[in-house]
Amino acid sequence: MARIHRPRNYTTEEEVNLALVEGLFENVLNAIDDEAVDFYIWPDYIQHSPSARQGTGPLKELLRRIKRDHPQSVHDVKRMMVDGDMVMVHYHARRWPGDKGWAAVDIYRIENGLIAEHWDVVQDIQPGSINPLSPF
Amino acid sequence: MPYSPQEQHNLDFCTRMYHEMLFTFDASRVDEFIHPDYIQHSTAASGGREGLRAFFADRAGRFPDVKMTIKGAFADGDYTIFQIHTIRHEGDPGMAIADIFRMEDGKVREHWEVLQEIPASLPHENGMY
Repeated sequence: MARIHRPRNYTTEEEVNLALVEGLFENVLNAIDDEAVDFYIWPDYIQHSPSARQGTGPLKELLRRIKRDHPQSVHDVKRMMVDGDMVMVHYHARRWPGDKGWAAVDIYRIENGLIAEHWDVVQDIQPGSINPLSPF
Repeated sequence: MPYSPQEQHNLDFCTRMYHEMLFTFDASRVDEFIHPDYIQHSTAASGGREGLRAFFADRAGRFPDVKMTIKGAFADGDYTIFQIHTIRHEGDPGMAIADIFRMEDGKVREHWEVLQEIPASLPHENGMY
């Protein structure tokens, strides 16, 4: 898991929050396991993503659909950052081997030990960018 | 959570960079905020300080009425992370931007960015921010 290099010591709270989001990526998103959602996210977590409905129900549905249609999906984490109760993840999502996929930044707010709020921005990886460098 | 002096400095520096350079497309300020060995990962701009100056020149001409707002700002060591809302013209739902900056020698050394058009309606009532 690609935490950024650590220029300072995190607080205990930050260590716990980073570990929670690392677990979300490993055990929910990359394991594509809808049954693990409740160990990481409050059922009524506030959803800001423009592509998801409110609450964990729609997320579990999505995971079941991904598992059925794209069982080789990966959320390839490039860097994770933490600021108190906020955890930021920059990753490359791909649905199948060779898929160009999309870049995403997810932001999570953690409250009482679980994820309570989520924001994201996603962008398809497209050929022909003015910038030859990797977006990661 | 309390920031280290370095993190607070990085947050203040980048916030000032938005208001004085990025929100105004002011190419004349690039050398002040951007490291000479700038690594650009954004899909919207070509490399280095020169690429950023060209980006500002292009956008300033195309979006004279743009309004950009900082919706969230976070710091972790050398890194700062910003949530930005860009409205290009009246009635535009806008673009959501997540910026990640890595600081080195007191300037922005590396930049990653994810851009997304905000749809006219969301599947919930919580807003984008």
